[in-house]
Amino acid sequence: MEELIRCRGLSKRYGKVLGLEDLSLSIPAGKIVGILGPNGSGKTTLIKMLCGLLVPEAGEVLIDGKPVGTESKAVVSYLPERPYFSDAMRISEVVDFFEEFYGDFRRETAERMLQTLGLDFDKKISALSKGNREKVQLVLVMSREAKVYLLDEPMGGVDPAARDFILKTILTNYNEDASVLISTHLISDVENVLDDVIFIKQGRLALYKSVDEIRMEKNKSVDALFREVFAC
Amino acid sequence: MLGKLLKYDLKRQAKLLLAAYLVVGLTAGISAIFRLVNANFEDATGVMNIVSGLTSGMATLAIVVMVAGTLIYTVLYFRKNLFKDEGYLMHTLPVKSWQLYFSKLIAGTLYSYLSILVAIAALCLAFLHIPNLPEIISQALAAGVPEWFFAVTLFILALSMPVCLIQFYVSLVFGYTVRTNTKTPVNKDLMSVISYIVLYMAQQIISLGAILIWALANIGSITDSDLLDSVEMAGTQAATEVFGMFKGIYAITIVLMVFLSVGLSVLSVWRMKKHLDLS
Repeated sequence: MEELIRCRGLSKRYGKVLGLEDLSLSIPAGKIVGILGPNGSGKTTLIKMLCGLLVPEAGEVLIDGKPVGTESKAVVSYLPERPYFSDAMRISEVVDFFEEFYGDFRRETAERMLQTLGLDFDKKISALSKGNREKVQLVLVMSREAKVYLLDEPMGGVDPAARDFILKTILTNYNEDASVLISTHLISDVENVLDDVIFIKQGRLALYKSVDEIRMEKNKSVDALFREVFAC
Repeated sequence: MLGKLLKYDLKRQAKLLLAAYLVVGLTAGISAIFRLVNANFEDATGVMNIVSGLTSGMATLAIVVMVAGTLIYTVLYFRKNLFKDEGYLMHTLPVKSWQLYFSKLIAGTLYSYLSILVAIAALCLAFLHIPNLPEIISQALAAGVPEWFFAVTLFILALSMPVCLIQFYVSLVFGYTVRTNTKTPVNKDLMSVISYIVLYMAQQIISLGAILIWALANIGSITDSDLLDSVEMAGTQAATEVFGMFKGIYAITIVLMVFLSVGLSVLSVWRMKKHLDLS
């Protein structure tokens, strides 16, 4: 299977606090992978390194065989855990923005999904509720025909109905030849859609297995194994 | 991609700046109306004089705030768009770091020039006075000011806009990419201010040093100089001597401005590329 993401010996410290320590992994195409771990374990640090928002102190990242840079960013669709659109922009302007900068952006898909949400395209981002801002952001990120989708806490702080919308949007819109990385600690919500899971514990890779393997070998759900591995 | 980024940056900043230009235009227009009324009615009262003075003062204040505000706004926009939440979008675009940097620098410089042009136009309107530039220049030429002096002064003034922005940008880049080994997170804005102060002091020392070296090499002494003697001379001869000195000082100023701007821009782009830390 084609390898889309390769990390070798990634390390990062925030002052005296460990972010990541000698983390190596390889993720093939066509998989939905859950990056799981408690708060501060290094999930967001890893995702930021993959999309170029953080430069590792040591190690190397290759996306589709290329180091992180302009070429890798053109094939990576990233959803941060915070709103990243300017409040002053209108929905129509952010759609134009994505179309202008990303060659793989599918405008019709985005417009169709935004219409489903019943959002007025002339509305300013500042006029949207927190939930709708997150939905608009997700719609635009998933409207790209990217090779890698990096979704950092896509369901953090939203109600169960919104979580369903988010999961449905991810599953019905991602490019099937792509890798989807979802960082979350809401395991029970995503467990059924994941192919593989990565456990990160104190900046180190604790486990990388397929969900089927976990179920067959350990006779446990991912949620149950997570509680066991990260028991306080 | 630079073109697309530039279009985006110009459009984003236009909303507030065009509104500021409109306010300045309105206050200048109001000042002009009161000045006209005051000048054309013989029975204008003391109250009219006061109102006319107040509106002119308001227009001047609006112009000063607009020019200073343009600089502050473009610097804050750089910070907000590259190092705050919007940075998560900008730094994940398939564009190079130098394109992000120069797009903001070009947009900021263009708006600074535009603000100064608007300020000049508004001052002329507010005070109903258009200075006769050709006459001023011809008088200066007759007094012995060389032609190149006007062109080079204008060039240095124009160059000082991007240079000023670069100093602020590089300070922000350093402040927001600095790494410390302390456990508590550092205040990145404070680090940016410290970077600016250090940079400013270093720049002053370099400039003074360069001028001192030039003066010693060309005049021999900075206390007993031809320049000081020439002040005591009369008329055109004094002007020729003084402007001869200016030529050297201007040349050093331009070289330093270009050298520092290029160096600091290269450093900023390198920091953004190799030490970006949006955490």
